[in-house]
Amino acid sequence: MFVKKIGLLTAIVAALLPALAKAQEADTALRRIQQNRAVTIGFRESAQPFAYLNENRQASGYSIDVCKRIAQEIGGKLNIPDIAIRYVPVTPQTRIPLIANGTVDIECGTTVNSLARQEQVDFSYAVALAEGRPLVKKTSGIQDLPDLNGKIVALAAGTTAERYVRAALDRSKINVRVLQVRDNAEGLLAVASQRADAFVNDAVLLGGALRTAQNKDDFAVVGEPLSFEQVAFMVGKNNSGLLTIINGTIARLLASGDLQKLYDQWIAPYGVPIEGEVGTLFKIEAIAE
Amino acid sequence: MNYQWNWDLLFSEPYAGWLLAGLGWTVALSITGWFIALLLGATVGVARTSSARWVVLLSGFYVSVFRNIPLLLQMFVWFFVVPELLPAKLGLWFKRDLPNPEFWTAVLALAFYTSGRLAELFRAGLQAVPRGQRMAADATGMNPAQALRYVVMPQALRIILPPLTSEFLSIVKNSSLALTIGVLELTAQSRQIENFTFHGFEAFGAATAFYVLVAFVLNLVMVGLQRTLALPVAV
Repeated sequence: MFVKKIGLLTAIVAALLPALAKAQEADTALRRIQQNRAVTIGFRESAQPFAYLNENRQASGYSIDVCKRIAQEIGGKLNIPDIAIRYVPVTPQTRIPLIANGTVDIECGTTVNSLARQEQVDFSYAVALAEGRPLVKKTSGIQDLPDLNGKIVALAAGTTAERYVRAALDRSKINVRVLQVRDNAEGLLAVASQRADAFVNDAVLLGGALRTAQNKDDFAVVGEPLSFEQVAFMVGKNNSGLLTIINGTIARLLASGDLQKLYDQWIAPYGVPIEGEVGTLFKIEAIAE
Repeated sequence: MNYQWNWDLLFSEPYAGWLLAGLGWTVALSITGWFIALLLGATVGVARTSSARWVVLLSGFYVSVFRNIPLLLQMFVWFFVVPELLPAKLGLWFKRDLPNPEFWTAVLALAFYTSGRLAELFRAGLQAVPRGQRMAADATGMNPAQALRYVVMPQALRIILPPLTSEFLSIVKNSSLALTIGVLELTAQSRQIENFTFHGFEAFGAATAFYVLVAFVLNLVMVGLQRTLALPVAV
């Protein structure tokens, strides 16, 4: 009897779920923006310097500034001169549901592009690179990847960097014990309290965590990058019209040098200037008219 | 809703493996934590019914501390504070050399938290056994320890078996908080899958199903135990 009921319930749920997924139209986000005369931007509240709440509790940061330009561009394209921008805070757990149900039109944070994720959402051109590098205590003597052998490495849970780092370690036959930490502050704490020998994460975010640390001179970000990832903006699937405007704005901002200025203003102070791979990326993405 | 469902994902590697590993850790956390909690809880519960006033006060203090502080906070205290209070060498061992430090820290936190709740359960159970039983045990020449072991405790255990079942189910659900200190149990693995694939609904759906399954099995076991242990005469 009981088993029968469970079976029935499962059948009902299974029958309903695909129905929810059906009936997808193209460019729902643009239509929504046209209707509301407003762009809704999803932002992270504490992902300095990309997106965070500043002292006045306003959304600010590199990604936010770029998205403001994108919103203006959308306003121009849709003939809404006084287009409004609404900000909705998102977390790694809520960003997908909020995009899926149409609460958020564009997510402007520190989300990293990956092929697996592209099955669920679409990404804009990259606006920054995330390079995974180890943060260590200066006294530890760790200089590069091989020095990590036999050590304990902290990785931030839920970051895609984790997979790349594990792959890099496997490739170089380096044996480490991995400790999962929740965020950058906790990763720094793990290294400071000797729970872990190194904390591997995006160098920009590490720079951000170090800025607020009390004894920041005890720590150093060392070695070659273990992973490369693209930081990009995220929109729902089937929104090619919106995506075209976003990518066009990024390309034009790069061609005019405005994006580089924003990058210098926000990201460069965190110890990652426009050089090497980032410089190349920006040249490539400045697509001509 | 603009969402691409993909349930097959859950059956593909590496995600299926992650979920099963997560289930394994959840079960391991719950069962290890449960047995330690049972031991501690029974001891403190007996102490709560002691005739010595200072024992009652001390065990009462134990219960207040572990039952009244949120589990999440206790988890953090065990993980971040306790190792720093220990002598430097022992603290370092706790943090680094102990195999699976996150797991054992979480087990400790779960066990102590649950033991506070179990202690009160045991106290209530022991006090629910009619006083005449203890007197009768006395009269037959048993000492207090024997009276507890052979007469009172077996009856008390039968009385508290149903609420004990819900505490057992609680520890399974509470074990999900271990993700905050880095144990990759079921909820943490679902989050991991959601972060890699952005298929959060499927991942958490699977986790939900597993939690229900574990609860269902535990319930069956405990109900079976109640039937087996039932006395011919109601106590």
